[in-house]
Amino acid sequence: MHRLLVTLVALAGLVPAAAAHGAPPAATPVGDDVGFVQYGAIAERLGVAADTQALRTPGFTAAQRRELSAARAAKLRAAHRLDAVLGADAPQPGDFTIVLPAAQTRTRADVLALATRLERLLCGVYTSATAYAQDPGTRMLLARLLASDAADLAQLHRLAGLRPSAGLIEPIDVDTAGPAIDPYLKTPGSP
Amino acid sequence: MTTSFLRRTGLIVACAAVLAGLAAPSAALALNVYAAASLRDAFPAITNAVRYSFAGSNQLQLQIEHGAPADVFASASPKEAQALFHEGLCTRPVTFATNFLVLLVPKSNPGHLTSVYDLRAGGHRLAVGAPGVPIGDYTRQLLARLRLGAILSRNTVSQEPNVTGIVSKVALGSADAGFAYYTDGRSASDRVSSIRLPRWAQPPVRYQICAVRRSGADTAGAQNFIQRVTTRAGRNILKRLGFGLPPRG
Repeated sequence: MHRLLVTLVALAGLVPAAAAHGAPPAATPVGDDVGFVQYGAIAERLGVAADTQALRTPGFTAAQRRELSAARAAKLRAAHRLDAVLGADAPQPGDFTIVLPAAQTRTRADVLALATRLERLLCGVYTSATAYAQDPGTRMLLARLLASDAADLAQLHRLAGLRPSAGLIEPIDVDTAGPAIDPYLKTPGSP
Repeated sequence: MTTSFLRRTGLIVACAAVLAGLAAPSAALALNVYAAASLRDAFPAITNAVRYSFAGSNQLQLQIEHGAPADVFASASPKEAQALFHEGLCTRPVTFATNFLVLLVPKSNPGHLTSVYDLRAGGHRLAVGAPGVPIGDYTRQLLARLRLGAILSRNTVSQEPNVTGIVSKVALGSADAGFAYYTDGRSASDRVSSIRLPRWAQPPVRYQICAVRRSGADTAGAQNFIQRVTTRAGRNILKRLGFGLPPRG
């Protein structure tokens, strides 16, 4: 827990340090950088859906519901920031629908396990982006989002009664993370 | 009586000639529908009473800009129809169908491809849409999202002017794989197999339709055609052929 917090604080500390050298560069993805941004835009929405489902599930205290609501709002803001980077190519309402299977969201434990799995994938992709994205502005944006989502992951671990993972999440490429979220997406007209 | 008979016959012949004269130009002036190549099965299933020109949407857009006698334009991405609208060359486009991308391989699958990620190894013959053609732009968008942009330089790529060329190349075995629309894979399913591509990375494929504005255009006919495509019967046909449908409204 402490190591994770230290890492996050260190990571967050990079941002003001960079800003001190001038205005933070705007995110303008280069080449395949857009893969990280697109994954984030979709996965943040999945996180919103999982948090929404958690709020409908019995077994959370009022304080825990407030935490989940705050995390959901942060995810929605993150999705909108990523949409702004994607511009005209950002996901539009009706492009796809999110379907969380009832079997994976029946109980408090189920929904926390699902939300944790999705959050870990997202953090892994963001970690990968901080190493491999070519555009500095995109790296900076995704590093900020990593800090926020890593805090959400720690919160989910706490809610599930688990020990938060130590250190930064291992990088995960979109090749691995993409197929893991695909089953929760339905494209209109797709059989 | 003979005179009366001849007069009557003459009148009938004259009337027939007038009717024939009216009929001939109307046949010559059949509604001209310029549509994306991927609609080549769907539109004739909706109506055969019009003249179709199927090609890459960008080519058709260019032809309309140069005064081609189109009455209706249906493009495989909003870009072309919106460009004509902003140039004052067509009515406000409406989205009438959606689609998604698949990777086509020949039935024999000589490249032994089972996933788009197999193309990373390189050495395959790949058919893709040329840049500027909707299928080409969608493909590049998808590959960038999958972080697979490099496969276009690692494989031998043929750039096709429309999706029909891609399907033909794959079906004939001239390419090991090609990126096309799901509906193309369906209509050529006797010759090609479709490999699904990740949903999270799919670019939104939206078809738009508009009535062309030009001197002599059959505006009423164009509106009638658009209505046929966007009302229940047309939507049912599109759905049966594998297209997605936008919400009505």
